Amino acid sequence: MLNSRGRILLSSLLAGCSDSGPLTLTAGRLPIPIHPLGNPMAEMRFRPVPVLVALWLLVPSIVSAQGPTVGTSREGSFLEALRQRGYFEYAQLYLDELEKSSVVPAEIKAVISYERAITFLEAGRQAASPSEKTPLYDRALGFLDQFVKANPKHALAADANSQRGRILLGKARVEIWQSQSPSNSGNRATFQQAARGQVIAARKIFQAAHDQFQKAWKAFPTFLDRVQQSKLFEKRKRAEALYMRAQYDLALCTYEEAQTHDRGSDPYVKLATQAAVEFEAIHTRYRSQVLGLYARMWQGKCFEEQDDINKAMGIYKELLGHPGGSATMRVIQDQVLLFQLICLNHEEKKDYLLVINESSEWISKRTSRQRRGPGALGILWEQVRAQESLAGVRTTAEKDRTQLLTAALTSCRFIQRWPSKYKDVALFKMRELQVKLKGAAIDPQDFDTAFGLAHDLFKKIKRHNEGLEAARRAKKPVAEIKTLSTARDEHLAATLEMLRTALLLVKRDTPKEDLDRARFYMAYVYYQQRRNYEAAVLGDFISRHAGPKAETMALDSAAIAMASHVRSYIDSPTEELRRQSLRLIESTATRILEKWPESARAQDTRLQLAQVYEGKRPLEAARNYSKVAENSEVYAEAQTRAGQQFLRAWLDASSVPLASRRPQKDLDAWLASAETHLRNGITRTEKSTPETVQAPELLIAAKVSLAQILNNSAKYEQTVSLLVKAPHSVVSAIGVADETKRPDSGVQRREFASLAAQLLLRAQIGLRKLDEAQTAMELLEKIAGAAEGEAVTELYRQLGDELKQELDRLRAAGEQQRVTEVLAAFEEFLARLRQRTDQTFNTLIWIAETYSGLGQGATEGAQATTFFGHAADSYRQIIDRADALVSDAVKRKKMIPGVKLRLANCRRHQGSFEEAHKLIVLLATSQPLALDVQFEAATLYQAWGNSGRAEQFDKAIIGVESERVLGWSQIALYLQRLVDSGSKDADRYRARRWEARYNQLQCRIQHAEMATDAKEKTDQLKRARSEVQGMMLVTSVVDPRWKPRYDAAYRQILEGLGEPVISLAEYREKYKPQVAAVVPAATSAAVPAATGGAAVAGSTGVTAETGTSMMGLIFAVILLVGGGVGVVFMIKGSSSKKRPRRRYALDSAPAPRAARAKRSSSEGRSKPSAEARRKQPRPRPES
Amino acid sequence: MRNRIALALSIVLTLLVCLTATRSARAIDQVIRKSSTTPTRGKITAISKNGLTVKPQVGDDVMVPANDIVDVRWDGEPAKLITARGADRAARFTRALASYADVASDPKSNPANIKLDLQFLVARATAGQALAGTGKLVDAKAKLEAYLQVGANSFRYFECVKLLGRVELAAGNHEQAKVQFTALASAPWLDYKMAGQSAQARVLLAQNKADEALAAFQAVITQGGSNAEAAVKGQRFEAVLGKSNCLIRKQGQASYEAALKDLAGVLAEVSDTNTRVLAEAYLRQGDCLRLLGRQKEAVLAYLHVDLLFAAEASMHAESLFHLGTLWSAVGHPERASSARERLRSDYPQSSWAKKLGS
Repeated sequence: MLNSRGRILLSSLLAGCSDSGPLTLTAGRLPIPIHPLGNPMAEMRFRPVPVLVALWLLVPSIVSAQGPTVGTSREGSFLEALRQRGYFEYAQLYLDELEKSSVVPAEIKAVISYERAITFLEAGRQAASPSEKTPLYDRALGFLDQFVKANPKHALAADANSQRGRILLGKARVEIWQSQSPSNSGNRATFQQAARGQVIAARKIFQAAHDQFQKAWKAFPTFLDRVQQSKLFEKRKRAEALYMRAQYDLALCTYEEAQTHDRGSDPYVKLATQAAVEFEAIHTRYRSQVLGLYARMWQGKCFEEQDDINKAMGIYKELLGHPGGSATMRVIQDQVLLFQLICLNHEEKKDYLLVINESSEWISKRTSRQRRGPGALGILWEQVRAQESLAGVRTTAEKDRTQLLTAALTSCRFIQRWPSKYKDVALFKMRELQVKLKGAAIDPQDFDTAFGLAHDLFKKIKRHNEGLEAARRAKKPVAEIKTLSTARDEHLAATLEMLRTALLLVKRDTPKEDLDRARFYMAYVYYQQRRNYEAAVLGDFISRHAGPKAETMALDSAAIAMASHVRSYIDSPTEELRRQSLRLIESTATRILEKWPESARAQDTRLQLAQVYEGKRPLEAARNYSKVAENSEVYAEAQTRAGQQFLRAWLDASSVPLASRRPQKDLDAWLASAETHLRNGITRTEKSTPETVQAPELLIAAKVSLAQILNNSAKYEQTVSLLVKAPHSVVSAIGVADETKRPDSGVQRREFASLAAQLLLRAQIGLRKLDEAQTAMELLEKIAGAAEGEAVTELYRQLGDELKQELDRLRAAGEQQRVTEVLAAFEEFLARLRQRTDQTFNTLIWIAETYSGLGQGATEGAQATTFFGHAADSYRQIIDRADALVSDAVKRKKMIPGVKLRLANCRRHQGSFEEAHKLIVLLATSQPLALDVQFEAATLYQAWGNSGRAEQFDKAIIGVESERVLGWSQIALYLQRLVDSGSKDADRYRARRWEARYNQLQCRIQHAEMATDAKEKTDQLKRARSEVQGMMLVTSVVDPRWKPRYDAAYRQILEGLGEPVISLAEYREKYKPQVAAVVPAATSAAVPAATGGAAVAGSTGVTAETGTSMMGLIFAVILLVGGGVGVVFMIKGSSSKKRPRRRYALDSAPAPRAARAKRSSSEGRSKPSAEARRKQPRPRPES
Repeated sequence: MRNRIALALSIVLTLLVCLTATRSARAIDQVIRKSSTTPTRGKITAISKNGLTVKPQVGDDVMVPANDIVDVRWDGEPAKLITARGADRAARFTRALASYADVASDPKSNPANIKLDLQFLVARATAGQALAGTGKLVDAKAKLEAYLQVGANSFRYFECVKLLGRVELAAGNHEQAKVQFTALASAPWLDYKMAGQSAQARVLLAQNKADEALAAFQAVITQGGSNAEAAVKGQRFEAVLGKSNCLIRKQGQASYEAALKDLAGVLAEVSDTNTRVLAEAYLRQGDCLRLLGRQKEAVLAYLHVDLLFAAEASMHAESLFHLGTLWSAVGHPERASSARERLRSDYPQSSWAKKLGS
C-alpha cells in the first residue's frame, strides 16, 4: 500500500460508490475532509492494548520474512490499522522501525516521511482542541515538505501537495474555531483574518491541483472498454477520482472562507451561496459516490447557515434516509444528525422536544468513551440548547423548568470537562443557566465551574502581557501604558480570586490533576504579580507533589520556583537575605538538574544559575554558562558570557596576594578557557549576524574582552585586527556623531568606549607603532576628553590603574621580560608625547596617570621614583597652568582637587611625605567627608610609618583630629554607618569597609614588624588579633574577595604571636555568629550603581540591557512553551549592581568626592550628574 | 388544551429519560471511607463505637471500622447537609454551623440516626471553630460532652473523645485532656492507639516536660515501625512532628538541625492529601528555620500553610502570626501588617491573635 497510495485512494473512492462496501476515513488514503463539527474525533491516545503488542512483535518478523515485492501491502495495512485505531504514537514508532530496518526496501523508505506526515495529519484531525491540533498539523506540514523536496517526481508528490493544502485548511478551521469561542470575542477579527489567510493559501494549492488533475483526466478518451482496455480504464478512473477530489477541496475552501466572515454579513452570504452552488454541482455529478454524499451534506449546511432551514432539513432527511449501512455512511449520518438538530433548534422550527428525544436516544446508544467525542458533545450541546429553550417556553411548568435547566447544567458540566469546540461555550452557558436557576448572578458553586472560569481568565493573561509589552516597545504615552498596566493588574487579581474560589470548592473527588493545575495557575499568577514568595512556595510544592501524569507541569512549576527565587534574590535588601536566596536557588537548581537533566529547563536553569553567580562567583558562573548545549538558541551568548566570566575569575585571582593565590596553572587554564569561549562566542555570533546588520552589543563586548586577553599575551596584531577590522568593528561600534552626547549605557558609553580605545592604544604601543599609537591616543582623547569635569581625571586615572594591574599580573606570572618590554614601550611613547608643546589638559592627565601606573608597576625603586616624578611633573603642570588649560571656572574648580590628590599620591610614592602631607591636610580640611581623601590620608600615614617613622602608624589607624583625618578605624566606622543607613551604594561602601579594616590590620602588622621592643611587637599583634576576631564575630558573611587576604593576615598575626595557626573560617565555625533578623529601613532593592574608581567588574551597561532582553526572551520561551507561562528574567539588572572589585592596592584611592548617605528620590530620577556618571562601574571588557 | 397536556406529558417523559440516563444509583446510605474513593453503599444495619455494618443491595454485609469512616450520607437526609459538611471540611465553620441549623429544622432530619449524627457534626464544627480561635472552647467542650452522653455507642465516639481531648488541652486542662487521650488510646486500632499516645505526649509537652514528651513520641514512632498502612504511617508522622516540637523546645542549633532533618523526611514521604500533617510539618520547619536565622526560608515554610493548608485553621493562625513578623525581616513590612490583620480578623479568639496584642 505504501508505494501504491494513489491506487488505493482511487479504489476506495470508487468502492464507496453507492455505499457498496466498508470504507475507512483515512487521511492518506481517502482524504475526505471532515469538518470539525462532524468529525468523529477520538482522543489522541496511547493504549497499550495486548493485541497491538502482539501485532507489534509480529510485524518485524513479517517484514523480515517477506521480500520487497510482497512486503509492502502488509506494512501499509498495519500502519493503516494503527492509524484507524488512533494509535498514532505506535504508528510513528513503527515508522521508526521501518526506517532503521535493513530489510525494508528503498521504495518504502522513500515514503516514510510522507507516511509520518499522514500520521500527524490524521492525529491532528482527531485531536480535540486547537492547542493540540496546531502542532500536529505543523509537523505534518514539515514532513510533507521534506518528502516533496526529497522526491519531487514521486507518484505521491502531487498528493503530498494536496495534503499540504488540506493541512492549511485544517489550520484555518482551528482559527475559525478560535474566532467562534466566546472567550475570544475581543479579537475575533484577528482570528478570522488569520483563518482567511490560510484558506487562501490552501485554495492556491488546490486550484493548481485541480487544473492539473482536470487536464490529466480530460486526456483520456471518453469511451473505454472496461474489459478490453481494463488498465487504461483503471487509470482513467484514478484520474477522475483525483479530479473529483480537487473540485471538492475547492468547494470546501469556499465554505471555509465564508466562515471567516461574520454570519449574515455580505461576504459571508456571497461565499456561502457560492459554496452551496459548488457542492451542488459536485453532488449532481457524483451523486452515487461517497464524495457526492458529503457534498450534499455541506450543501445542506450552507442552506442552514443562511437560515433556509426547510431546504437544509430536506437534504438532511434525504441523507438520513439513505439505505447504506456502512461505517462511512454511519459517520455521515451522525454528522447529518447533528446538523439536523441544529435546524430543529432553529427559530423557525423550535422543535425542542424532538431535539431532546433524538439526542437522548442517540447518546444512550453510545459508550462512555464515545460520549466524550467532539461529535457526541456537539449533539449533547444541541440538547442543552433545546432544554434551555424549552425551559423558557411560557407554558412550561415551574417544576419542569427547574428540571430542564438542572439537566442542561449537568450536561454543560460534562461538556466543559472534555476538549472540544463546545468547551468554552458550555462554560459560559453554565453561568447563564445558574442565573436562570438561582435568579441572580452568583459565584460559582462548584470547583469545575470556578476552575473553568479561572482557566478562561488565565488564558487571557498572555494577551494582557503582550499588549502591555507592545505598548512599551512602541514607546506609547505613559498614560496609555499605565492604563494597560492597570487593566493587566486587575485581570491578574480577578484570575487569582477565581482560582482561590475554585480551591475553596475542592472536594474529595476533585481530580488531583485539576487541583494541581489550579495551583500551578496560581503560582504563575503570583509570579506575574511579582509575589515571588507565594509563587516559589506553590511552584516548589507542585513540582514535588504533582502526579506522574503531570510531569511537564511539575517541571514548569519547578521553573517558576526557580525564577521566583532568582527574582527574590535580586530584590533582597540585605546581603544576608541574598545569601539565603542563593541557597534556595541552588537547591531548586540542583533538583531540576538532577530530576530533569535532559530537559530544556535544565539548560535554562544553568543559565539562571550562571547569571546569579555572575560577578560574585565568576568561576561557577563560567562553568554553568559553558554547559549550555550547542543546540541551544542562546549558545553563542552563553559561550561569550562563559568567556567573560572565566576572564573575570582570572582577573580576580590575579589580584590576590601571592601567598594565597591559586596555582598559576589554574589561572592559565582559566585564561585559556576565557579565550576559547570568547572566540567561540564571537565566531558564532558573527556567523549569525549579517555584515550589513549592526553588531550585537554582546559581540562588541566580547571582542573587547578578547582584546584584553590578547594584549596580555602580547598578541598585539590580533588585538588591532579584532578592534579595527570589519565586519562589526569595535572602533566603528563605539563611535558617535557627537562626543558630548554619548549615551549612559551600551557600548557607546564613554567608559566602555574609552576602554576600547585604550586597548587599541595599548596594542599599538606594544607594537611600537608610534604613529598609529598617536592616532589611537587621539581617539582616546576624543572620547575620554569630552567627559565633563572631574570625570575626565577619573577616567584617565582608571586607565593608568589598568596599566599598573597589567604589570602586576605579568610580574606575578613570572614574565619579567614582558614587564621590561611593556615599560620600555610606554616610556618610548610617553617620552614622545611629553615633547609635544601643545599639551592639553587631557594629554597631560593621561601622561600623568600612565606614568603613575608605570610607577606602581615598576619593580625597581629608582625607576618607580622616576616614573612618579614624571607623573608629578605633569600634575604640577596642570595645577600651574589650570587657568589656561581649563577655561571654564566651574569645571576647573571641580577638577583641581582631584589633580592635587593625585599629586599627593605621587609624592607619597616618591617618599616626599611632607609635601604629600601638606597637600592632603589642605584637601581634608576643605572636604572632610571625601572618602578618597580620607583613604589617601590614612595611606599616607601608613606609608610614612613604613618609612621608619613608626609613630605614624597610630595616626594611620586613629587619625588626626586637628587635620580632619579620620584614620582607618574611623573610616571603617563611617562606612559601616553608611551601609546601615540603607544607602543605594551600600555594596560599594561595604567593599571599601573591608579594605579599610584590612589596611588597619596591615598597619598593626607592619608596626609590629618594625618594633624593636618585644612587648610593643606583641601588643600590636594582639591588638590586630583581637580586632580581626571581633570583626568575625559580628560579621555573618566574609566578602569572598577579601577572604584570602584576611586569612593571610590572620595567619601572619598568629605566627607572630606563636599561637596555633587556624584559618578565620575555623575561628568563625568555633564561635559562629547567630544571624539576627535584619529589618531593612527601606524595602527598595539596593542597586549600587557606582562602584568607585578602581572597580573592575562593571558591565558595558548595554550588555546588561542586551542580557535582559535576551534572557527575558529565553525565559518567556521556556515557560510559554512549557505551560503557557511567560516569565520576565531580570538578572541582568544585577550585573549592573556588581560589587566593585576594589583592589587591595593602597594606591587605588580615586579622586576625592564626598560620600553620600542616601540619594534623594528626585536625585535618583534625574539625569545622572557628572559625578554620578563618574561613579559608574569601571567598564571591564569581560562584562 | 389537549396540546398543552401532550406537551406536559412529553416533558415529563423526556425528563424521565434524562434522569434515568444520569442517575447512577438508588438513594441509600453511603459511607465515605478513608481507604477508598468509592463510598460503601447500602443500608446501615448496625452501629457501634467500633464501626458500622452496611448491608449492600447485593452481597454480604460489610463492616466498616470507625477509624475508616470519613462521613455518612444518610438515606433521605436533607440535601443541604452535603453542603454543610463541605463547608465544615473546608474549615468554614460559621457557614457550616448555620447550614447545620437549617438542616436541623428540616423534617427530613428527624430520623434518629440523622439527628444523632447532626448533633456530632454541630459539636465537631463548634470544636473546630474554637480550636481555630474563632469560637469559645467552653461551648465546644459542652457540646462534645453532651454528645458523649448520648453517643457513647456511636461510630463517632472515638473521634469525639479525640476532639474533646484537644479542646481540653487548648483550654489548659491538662489532666482532663489526658483522660480523653487515654480513652482514645484504648481504641482497638493501632492508628488510634498511636494517636492517643501521641496526644498524651503533647500534653506532656504542654506541661513543659520536653524530655518525657520526646521519649513518649519516640515510643510512638517505634511502635509505628515500618508499617505501611496509611493511617499508621500518618500517626508516625504525627509523632515525628511532636518529636520535632520537643527538639525545638530544647533549643540549640543541633536540635533545630535534627528537627529539620526529621521534618524533611516527613515532607518527602507524606501524601499531599494529609493536609494536617503537611501543615504542621511546614510550621515546625518554619520554626526551626526562623530560630536558625534563615528568615527567607522560614517565610517560605510558613507560607505553605497560608497558601495551601488554610483549611487547617489553628495552624493557619499560627502561620499568620509568624508571617506577621517575618515578612518585615525580609523587607516586606506591608505584608507583615496584612498577615497580622488577617490573623486578627479571621481568628480573633485564637491564642496567636492574643499574642499579637492590640
